[in-house]
Order: sequence, then structure tokens, then C-alpha cells
Amino acid sequence: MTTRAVEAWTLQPLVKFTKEAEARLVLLMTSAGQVMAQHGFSRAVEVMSAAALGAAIIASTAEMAKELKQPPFAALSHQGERHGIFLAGFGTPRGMLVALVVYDIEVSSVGLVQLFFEQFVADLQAACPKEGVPKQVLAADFERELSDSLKTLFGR
Amino acid sequence: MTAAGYARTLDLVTRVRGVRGAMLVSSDDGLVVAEHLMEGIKGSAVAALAASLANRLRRAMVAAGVGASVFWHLQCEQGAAGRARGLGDHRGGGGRAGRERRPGAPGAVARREAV
Repeated sequence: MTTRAVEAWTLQPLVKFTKEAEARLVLLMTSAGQVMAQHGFSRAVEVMSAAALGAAIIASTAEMAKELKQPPFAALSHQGERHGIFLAGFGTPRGMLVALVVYDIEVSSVGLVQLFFEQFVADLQAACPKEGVPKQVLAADFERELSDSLKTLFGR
Repeated sequence: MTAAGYARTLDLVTRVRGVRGAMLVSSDDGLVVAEHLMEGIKGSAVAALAASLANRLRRAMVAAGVGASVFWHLQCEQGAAGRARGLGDHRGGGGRAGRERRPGAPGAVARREAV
């Protein structure tokens, strides 16, 4: 299984998390769906779909929370027959990030993922560069940025 | 059993001398169903790790041809942990005991009372 990162500081925490939680797939992205790192994906199109869907779910639940006049929901978990997904947003000095975790329920569990996710967030917050403002991606540059990210993640 | 029933059962388990806590954990997802723990014990971590361990042991026992494990007891440096599988609902009860408790007791307590 390959782990690759667009932002180098995310790599070591991600490798540690996937090993400890025994996650099958992990996607780390901004709340806008810009991919920062991934583990286990083999095709660029899968990453693009997962990032778009994950960011959309987080945006939807954040709006629901606003309607209920409460802070955004911490995490969302779904469990199927063979796999479970865990989706959560968290703050870093670089802004809000979103993690999408897919795990095999024969190998891991939502309890394990939750447990090691707390450490993952702490590791990312510690590793995150404090200085430097994150670059805003404009709509005009979005396709080029996406293409560059996918090249980094898949090496082609 | 209701949540109040679980709480009462766990309360009874933890009244046994030397027992530091007891919890009911969903073995499928490693989440806490009910807990009665002394301060300083991180229930969610114990639940997730114990459920994972229990599932691996269960698979190992099945692979060894002796059937699913129903009870285990781990003797540690400063105490012991026991785990018993629930009947039918796939929930396990766990007991944690201090050093003064005799080996074997926490698991037996958990099995008798928490299942």
C-alpha cells in the first residue's frame, strides 16, 4: 500500500496512523476538497471522487449543525457489511482539514480508528508549519492545482 | 437489558474489592456500551484495543479448531484484565483489577455479573 503526500509534513503522521489504525484507505484534504495526502488509493479518479464527496459531506453536515445552532459535528461514521468509513474535520494552523478513513471491519473497527485518529490530529497539529499563509486556490487555477496534486500523489 | 440495568450490573462488579472498573464493549466496533471505571482509566482506549484483541484471539481460536474464545484473563504487572463474551448479543464484559486481587478473579467476576 502506498502513502503519498502533496504537503510533506503530513506524510509521517499519516504513515503512523494508517499503520496503527490498520486503515485500508485514508484521504487527507482541505475542507474545499484539495488533497494533501493519501494512503491506499491506486487511481487518481478514485481520489478525485472521494475528495469531492468527503468535502461535500462535511460541508452538508456543517450546514445542518448551523441550522441546529450548534458547532460543527466532530465526526461521521458509517459501517457496511465489509467496510466502514470515518469522516472527520479538525483544525490546524493551516486551517480546517478533513480526513476520510476507510477500514475493513475484519481488521479494524470504528473504536480503533477513533482512538488513533485523536493522536493523528495531535501529530498533524504538531507537524504543521506555523508560519506561511496557505495559498488560496482560485477557480481559474483549480484544474492545474488538482492536476499537480494528482501527479505528486501518483507519480505520473 | 436497559442502560440502567447495565449500569447497575457494572456497579455491582466494581464493588468487588480490588476491581478498578468494568465495562461493556461492543466487540464488533470497539465502542463502549456502558462503563464504570475509576479515574485515570481511559475507557474508550481500553474498549477499542480490548475488542480488537478479543476479535483476533477469537479468529486464532477458530483457526486452531477449538471454537470461539469465550473468556480470557491477562495478568499484568500492576493488575489484571479479564474479558468475557456476552451471550447472543456479541457484547463482552471486561473487569480490571488491582494487584491485591487474586489472579483469575476479575475475569470470573466480569463473566458472572456482566454477561
